Amino acid sequence: MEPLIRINNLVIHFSTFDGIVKALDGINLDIYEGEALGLVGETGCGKSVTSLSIMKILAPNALLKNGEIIYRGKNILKFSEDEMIGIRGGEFSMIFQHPLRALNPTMKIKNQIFESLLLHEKNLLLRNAIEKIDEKNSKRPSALLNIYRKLIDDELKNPDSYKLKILSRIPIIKKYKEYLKDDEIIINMLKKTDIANPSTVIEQYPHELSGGMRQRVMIAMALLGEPKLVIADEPTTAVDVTIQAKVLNLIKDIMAKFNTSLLLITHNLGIVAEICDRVAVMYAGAIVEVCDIYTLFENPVHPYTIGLINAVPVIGGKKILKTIKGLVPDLLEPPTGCRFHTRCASATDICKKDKPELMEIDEGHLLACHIFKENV
Amino acid sequence: MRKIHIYAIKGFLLSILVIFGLSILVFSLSRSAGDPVAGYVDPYTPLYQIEQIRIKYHLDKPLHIQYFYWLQAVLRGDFGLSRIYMYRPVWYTIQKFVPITIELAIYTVLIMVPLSLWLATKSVKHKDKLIDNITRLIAIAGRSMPSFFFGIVLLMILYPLKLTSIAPIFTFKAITNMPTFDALLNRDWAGFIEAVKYLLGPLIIQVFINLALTMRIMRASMLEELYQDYVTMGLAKGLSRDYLLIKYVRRNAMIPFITLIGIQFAYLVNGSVISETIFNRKGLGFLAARAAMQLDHPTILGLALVLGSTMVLTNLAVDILYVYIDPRLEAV
Amino acid sequence: MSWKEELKPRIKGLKFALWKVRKQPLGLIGLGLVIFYSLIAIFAPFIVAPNYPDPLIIPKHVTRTPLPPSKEHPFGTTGPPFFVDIYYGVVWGTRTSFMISISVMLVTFVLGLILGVTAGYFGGKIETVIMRITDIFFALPGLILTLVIISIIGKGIGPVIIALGARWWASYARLFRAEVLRIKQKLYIEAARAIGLSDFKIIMNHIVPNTISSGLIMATLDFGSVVMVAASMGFLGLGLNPGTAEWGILLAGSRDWIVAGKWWISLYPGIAISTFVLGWNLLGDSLRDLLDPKTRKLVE
Repeated sequence: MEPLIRINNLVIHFSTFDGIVKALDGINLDIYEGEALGLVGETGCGKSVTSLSIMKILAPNALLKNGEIIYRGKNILKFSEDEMIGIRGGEFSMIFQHPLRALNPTMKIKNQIFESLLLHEKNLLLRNAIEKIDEKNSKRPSALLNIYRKLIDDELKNPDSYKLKILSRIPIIKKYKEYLKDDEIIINMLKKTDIANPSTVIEQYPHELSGGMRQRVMIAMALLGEPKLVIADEPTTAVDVTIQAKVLNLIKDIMAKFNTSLLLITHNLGIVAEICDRVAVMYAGAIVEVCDIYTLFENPVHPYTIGLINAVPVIGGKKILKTIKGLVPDLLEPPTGCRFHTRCASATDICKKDKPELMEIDEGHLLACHIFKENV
Repeated sequence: MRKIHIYAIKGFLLSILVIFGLSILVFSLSRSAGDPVAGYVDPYTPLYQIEQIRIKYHLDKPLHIQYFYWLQAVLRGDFGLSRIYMYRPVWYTIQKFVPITIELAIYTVLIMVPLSLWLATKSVKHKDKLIDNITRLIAIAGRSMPSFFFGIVLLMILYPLKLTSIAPIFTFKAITNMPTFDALLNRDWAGFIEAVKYLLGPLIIQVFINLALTMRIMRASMLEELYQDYVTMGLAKGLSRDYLLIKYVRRNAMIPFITLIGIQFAYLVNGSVISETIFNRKGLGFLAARAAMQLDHPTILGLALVLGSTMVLTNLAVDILYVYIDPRLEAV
Repeated sequence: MSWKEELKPRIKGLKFALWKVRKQPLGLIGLGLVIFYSLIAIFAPFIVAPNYPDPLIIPKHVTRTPLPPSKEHPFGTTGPPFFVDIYYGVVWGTRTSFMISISVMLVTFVLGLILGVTAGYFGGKIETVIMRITDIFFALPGLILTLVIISIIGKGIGPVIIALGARWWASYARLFRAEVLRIKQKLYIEAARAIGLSDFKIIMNHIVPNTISSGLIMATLDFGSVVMVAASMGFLGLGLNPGTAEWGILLAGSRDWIVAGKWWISLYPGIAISTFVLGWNLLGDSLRDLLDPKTRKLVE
């Protein structure tokens, strides 16, 4: 089966004051339709960079040194900004870690949702607006109604035109906006995420909502374009445990409904166990192991993966927490060869010299390691 | 009572306290400059009357009691007589010079605000390219060039071109006491041109100096907003960079900018001593310079108190405004 | 550790500093200007023969109208009302500017440091009182305060320093208090207290060294401004006695001659002031960028 997205050998560097940070060192990753793929690793290993690359919203000091991201047969890294705008929010969408920071603090919720609707659900808005016009305005002259219809159409096709800017200031004419920005549709969008009191919420500002509600708003916006891929960057880290469960279930429901793929970025293995079908383990800018969820917990092969699994504290278990010795390497001058060799108990000479390729060692199980590739 | 009301009241009380402190400072200064009665008499007052005035203002009593009566007089508007303007009451003199200064302030702000916004946006959009470096240069120049050197150079340029008016004569009726507006209200077009020339020199200096600051601050404010998560999310939603720049970044960056403009306006209202002196523009700055030069203590101290108080109150107003318009701060 | 190993991080630090400085061409220009004027101030007696008895008073040269630049008077003379040689004024004015600025900076820095650190460290009522007093001084726009004080105290270099000092001390007090508050939170202060170091020792050994750098940056930026305000006062005829070698005083009579086309009276002193202030501003800006906590590698 062809993957929905295939990342080939992606190399990304960042140019900073201190030097060149070699953030991604040749990432290979496939995401299939309808699956939930977990991307795990410590902070700073490049998970977020990978997701931002897919959306092509990296910082201006990012350098694409090599690689391609294939979606629908094309390399989206070569897409123009306009083409990317078409994809973002629609076919690909993203959920951020800190919903308070990710929502515009000075815009009401309804306006923020409306922005997304205007971009990705034009037809819905158009149909709804026309319905409303037809139904409510038998009293108004039909000439006026025609003007409204025309303006609504213009707004959806060409929102930046000067004509619209001028016309939308004229008192009676600007009423067309009310039909377009219909509260009902916005409330319906919110209802999909099981949010309580949507009619109150839409009039509020982000800081007036609770963390869980903000997260739901963000999820609502991410899903309204019926995306093929949702990237969730640590969606539960900034949220209480109780809300975590709700958010996860929400995501699961929505994936089932629309057959959306999910790229879940997290360092929390518990969440991974809840939701994911497959997992990719990342370390210092490289993917070290990819396998299905059961194999991850029952039969991990890469020393780093094993270390991660062992590091999860067990209730009632031993008193001393197991850690992986050493520190995350500095990506300004990363280790040669296999980037994990400095912390690996089994490292040998070849590990110091050659970067291990990600190879399939068993069905659906990929590994990048010189030593353990025989160990299945 | 909502939080903003409490904030306003607290601020107001604090401001009153500061103004009191200011009055004590001004009072002490007034009593360290020779015989205080000199501030209340003119050369023609006969000797016996001087003694009467001395008693009237309680100048024979100990200092802390004097302060009390002095404060009362000040609250009545009695700051003494201004020597440099024919011994008219100081308050009256100050009032005469206020409209001219306010006129300059209004025009400066009207030009400066759109210009800073436009230049700041361009600088952010094309960061580190030519336009950004030009604005950086303007900012440095505005800060480094002493206003009087700039003023003199400007005078050198404008005077031969007859674009400045050092001793204008206005023949129209005074309504607002601001030459440009009065000229328009009287439909005196020639007078209007003259009024504009009267305004031009100081206006250019003020706009340049203030623009340097506001433009760079707006730019810095915008850059801070630019790297926030919500802008990245906006990109992820599919919004275009131009849209984000204006509707997200600039709109949010404007909030601190507005308060900055408020404070700038307050500074402008205080008058620019230097540019008014060079171009002979009779505003509060000019008054201050004259009063200091001729050691007219009642006037300069009166100005200090009045200007200081307006500064404090403007700061308060701006603070409250900031809390009012930024929804984030409602949780203050 | 062998000396080679010890040297390595130092070299790396130096390389880093140089690399950063290279990225700041404006800062180098500023440094150049500052050094240039410092040299002029130091070697003034060798550039222009000092006047007797007070080198800071410009020798007079009475003529009916100002003289344009010539071999005798490289920058010309000012004519009525001061009748002074501009070249002398500009060169020795450098000394005056430095003198005023250094004195004012010393006074305000020390005063602001003491008051600010006290306010920040001890907090409570002391802090409130000191901060309210700074509020009062902040209420008055700078030039007005200076004018007020100078009109009361009189002329001369002492009054000028007092008047300027009165204007600036409040900014430093506020700066140092903010810095102290920032540092106070750091754990090593808690640790020092826990060990039992006296307050004074804590202040001297831990707090002050870390706050000084911000103060120095502000001082560099203000150095030029002080000269500018002093010159403004000179321009208005306040402050120093007429005839003293000071750039503002030189400019004082220039306005009336501009309209008569005598450009040299304002050009040379004006350029001197502008470039002097520019140099310090550029230097201060660069220092601020270099020591920016986000990018600095200095020891905290």
